[in-house]
Amino acid sequence: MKCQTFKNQFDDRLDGRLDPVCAQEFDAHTAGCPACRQEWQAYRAMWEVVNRQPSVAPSFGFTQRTLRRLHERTERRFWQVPVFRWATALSLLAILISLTGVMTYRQAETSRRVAAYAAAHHDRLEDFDVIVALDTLEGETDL
Amino acid sequence: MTPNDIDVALMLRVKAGDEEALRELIERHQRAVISVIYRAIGDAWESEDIAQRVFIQVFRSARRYKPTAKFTTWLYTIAHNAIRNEYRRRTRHAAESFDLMTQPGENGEPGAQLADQRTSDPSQSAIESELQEKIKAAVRLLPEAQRTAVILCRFEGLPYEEIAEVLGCSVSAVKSLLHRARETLKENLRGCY
Repeated sequence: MKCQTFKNQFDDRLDGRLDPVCAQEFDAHTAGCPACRQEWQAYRAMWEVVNRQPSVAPSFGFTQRTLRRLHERTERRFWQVPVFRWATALSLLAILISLTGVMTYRQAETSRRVAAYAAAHHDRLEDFDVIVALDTLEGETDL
Repeated sequence: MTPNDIDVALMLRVKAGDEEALRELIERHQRAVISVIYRAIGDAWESEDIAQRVFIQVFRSARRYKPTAKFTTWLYTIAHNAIRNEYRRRTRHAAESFDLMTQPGENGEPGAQLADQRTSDPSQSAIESELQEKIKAAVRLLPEAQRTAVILCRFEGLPYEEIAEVLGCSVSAVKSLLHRARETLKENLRGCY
């Protein structure tokens, strides 16, 4: 085994990923090559130091706090759910359309009433026009 | 039934809105998730906060979950993204120094359980503590992908294939990342071993 091939297998050997034949070759090279042996020992020692770093355990009540936080977030985001946002937008649109409809209807109704009134009181309105015209003439005469 | 089968079954229940299943999932994986995050950012309180966000994200993404990949791969991917976001946030808020990170293990704060692993000899304890700080700093100083690869491989014992999925790269890229991380750590931890 070449020294470079040996060095490339450091990680696999460390993690036990080498198959038995390769592991045997690796160990044989370790025994036969002092330079590689030194490097391998240093490498292994470094990871032993790194691996000594203890893991962190969760503090008491971590699960409960997480679930509580989940609820808080869920509640806060309730109105931000797209369905509710769409429902709000649609409701506002419906209100706007209804108001426009009501106003249009009322305007049409007023026009219709005026027209009906005009038709029903056609004669009186004509007389009214004549009176207004006479008043105007009288006013002009005064001047 | 393998641990992954149990996780998948629980996740399918979470998908159906079962909160009890989420509780079980948290209980099963909280330690691993917190440890991974802690090793990456070095702050016990922040680690718990981010871990909580990871589990909330698990719940929120449950509808999109498909049991094609291993559950832990999916979980670590979420954790990896959360760590990345945290680093970005800290980069934006440059005033928040990484050197100010708290030391866990005091007064019932997260990580208090580490105490039993310390030696009783005060001088030895001080040396060990200093060494642990050096290791933490050395790991944290690694580039993002190398750091995650090291944490998942060395500390969590994940296979290369799973790490490749978490990082979204090939297995050979993972090997390369680990190799480069090894060189960097060897340099930074010179004299510690």
